[in-house]
Amino acid sequence: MAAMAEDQHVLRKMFCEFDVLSCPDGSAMKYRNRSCLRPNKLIIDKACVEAVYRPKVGQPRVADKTKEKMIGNTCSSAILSTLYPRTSVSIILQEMQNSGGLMACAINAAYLALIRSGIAMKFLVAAVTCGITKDDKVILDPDLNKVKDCHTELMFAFDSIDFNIVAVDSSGQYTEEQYQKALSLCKEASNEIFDFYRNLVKKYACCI
Amino acid sequence: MALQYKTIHPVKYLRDFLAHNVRPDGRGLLKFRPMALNVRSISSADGSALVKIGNTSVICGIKAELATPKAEEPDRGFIVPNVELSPLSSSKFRPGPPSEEAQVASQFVFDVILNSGCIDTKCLCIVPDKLAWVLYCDLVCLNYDGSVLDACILALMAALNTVSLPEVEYDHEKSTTTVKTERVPLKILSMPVSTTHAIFDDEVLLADPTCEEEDLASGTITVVVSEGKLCSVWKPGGSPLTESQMDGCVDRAKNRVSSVLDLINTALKSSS
Amino acid sequence: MAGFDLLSDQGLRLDGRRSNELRKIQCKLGVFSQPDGSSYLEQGNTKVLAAVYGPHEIRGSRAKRLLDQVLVNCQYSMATFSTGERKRRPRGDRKSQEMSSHLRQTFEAAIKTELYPRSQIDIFVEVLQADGGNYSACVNAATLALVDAGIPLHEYVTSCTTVLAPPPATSWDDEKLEEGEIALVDASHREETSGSPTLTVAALADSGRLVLCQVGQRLHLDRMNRALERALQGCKDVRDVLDEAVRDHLANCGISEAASS
Repeated sequence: MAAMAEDQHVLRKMFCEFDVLSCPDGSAMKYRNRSCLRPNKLIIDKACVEAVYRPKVGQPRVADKTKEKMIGNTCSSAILSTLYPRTSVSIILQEMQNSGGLMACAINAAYLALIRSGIAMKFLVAAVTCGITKDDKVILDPDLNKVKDCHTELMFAFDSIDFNIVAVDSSGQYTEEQYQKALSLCKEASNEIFDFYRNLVKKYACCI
Repeated sequence: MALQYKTIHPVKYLRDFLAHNVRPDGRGLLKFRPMALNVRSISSADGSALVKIGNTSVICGIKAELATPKAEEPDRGFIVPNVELSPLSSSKFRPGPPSEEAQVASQFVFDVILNSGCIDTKCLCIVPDKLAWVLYCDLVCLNYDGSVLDACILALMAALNTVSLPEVEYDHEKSTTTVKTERVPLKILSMPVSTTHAIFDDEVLLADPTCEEEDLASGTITVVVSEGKLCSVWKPGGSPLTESQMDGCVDRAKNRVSSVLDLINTALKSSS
Repeated sequence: MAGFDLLSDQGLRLDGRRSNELRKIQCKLGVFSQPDGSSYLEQGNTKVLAAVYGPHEIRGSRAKRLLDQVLVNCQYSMATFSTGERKRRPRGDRKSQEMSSHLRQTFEAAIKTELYPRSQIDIFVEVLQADGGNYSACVNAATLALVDAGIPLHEYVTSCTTVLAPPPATSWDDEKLEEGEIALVDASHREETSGSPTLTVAALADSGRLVLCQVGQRLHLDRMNRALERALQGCKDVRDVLDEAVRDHLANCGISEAASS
């Protein structure tokens, strides 16, 4: 039982490969950064941050636009956009595989690409998903099998300095207590993700 | 003079007001705008409602049509929400295909319907695998002045309460459908209520922001409460919020539910 | 849809009006805060909203700007729930584009375009409920919205749709039989789709000048003058109603200004 309980509070193994693509400024598994400016999106005192999300199959749909807005806004809150006026930062994500926790994975991938590209940021963001089953158990980072048991899925994104909440997305109904439980669990888990970022930077410090 | 100052330096203009704990329209920082609701105004629609939150006006029209259910869900009908942010509502929007904001709003409304379980799509099925109702919920924003998501959810719930669907008979042998004249009101299982806050300058929370406040805000958070439970917390990036600020938003959202439900009930009673 | 009489023996129409009576017009100016001018108009069961933005700088391609007059841009849109059957494409289809173009031509004639060169005025019309006379209601609503926006017009532009109904088998008045068809002013949807000839007219009401005239079905030339006369009279009646509404609105604005100062 103890082993089972432990499984619920452990994040799945993370893997990241930098510079998968050669052209973009920074790429991490899913990639690109920096593009030429587009006049109709010109902001004179800040950089314009936009995200493009492509699903694995089919044309981008309305649900993908929501993901784009979420990722774009999350990234723009962290980037020091006033350092790059009249430019545009494009973050392009391509879904390769979905085994649960897609939104969190997308946000983390976007941040890794931003780290690689060297754009100045105020803080880093780590996103974690958790699911709540019918018997009120909170499972961290559920995969597709566990997701089927969950009636609720919550995604939280935390910043690296004060661990404040940068982004929240939820599906299903839940009480406030369940929300608080999930929040605290995800907060602890985000530490792991920040450690993962730090280890990566240490490993690739020569190239970045 | 104030108008010129507002045009040249809108951020400082807002900051000066907030320094005195008041907003440009005279409200307190956490005060909500007055709401007005009118139902059954459009007789050509199966259900309709017009909502005004401050200056933001949204009209919802629901049309019911018959269709075949999907193969993977043969016993479920469909609810198709669509939010239209037309150039009529604000100079921000250009004529053409739906903007990103309209698409995000449509998806949000769809998610709220799904998450809150306000309508059981199984009730919309007439004959499994053959015939089911499709409810097209069209939300047209007439005047865009902030908190559009709140207005959309309110209009949608009020309109759904006015929908009554006729009885339908399906003859299996002849494959014909007959639509009777008696109408049965739609069963609504829950009433989600949405509340939006804007975050300004990374610190100040403004409840029920107007369009100008939303433009200057560094982030927004929308909380949807249904039957005492949270059914959606939507914070698409933006400035980070502390836990206490988040809790405050959730509490205010919960407290607002009763006044909104009272408004809907009064409007429904007075129109029937 | 023949088989029912548009006009009963007593000279009453399907909704109880006389042949020269307009539907009840209820209108309000300045209903929304975002547009520069806005109005809401109800003509019977037809409900229309109009919003005007402008004059402002040309949006989109600079090539479209006119050096000696303002560019009038109209968009006609019907809400999907406005008609009996759900409308699939609220705008962008042929009919909406045709209506938008008619509206544009009408207002180019009415607005003093020479006053705002190199600028653009946007007129957006949304039909919330359609029950006949859509174009007419749109023109009337847009006129009010333009007045609310403070854009100078030559005159009020009003519009009226007339249907020429075949005379009833028996007449309440022997005199009418000689005229042949009877013009029904301000037609509702059922009257418009009955298959009888329709005449849609937009006119500058005070001077009686025609801005737009559209005929549907086959209209005999002999009947044309009589029908046109009736339609113009209808336009003048609408103008009187709109004028009263504008004066009421101004009086209320004045009262609220005085009260606040």
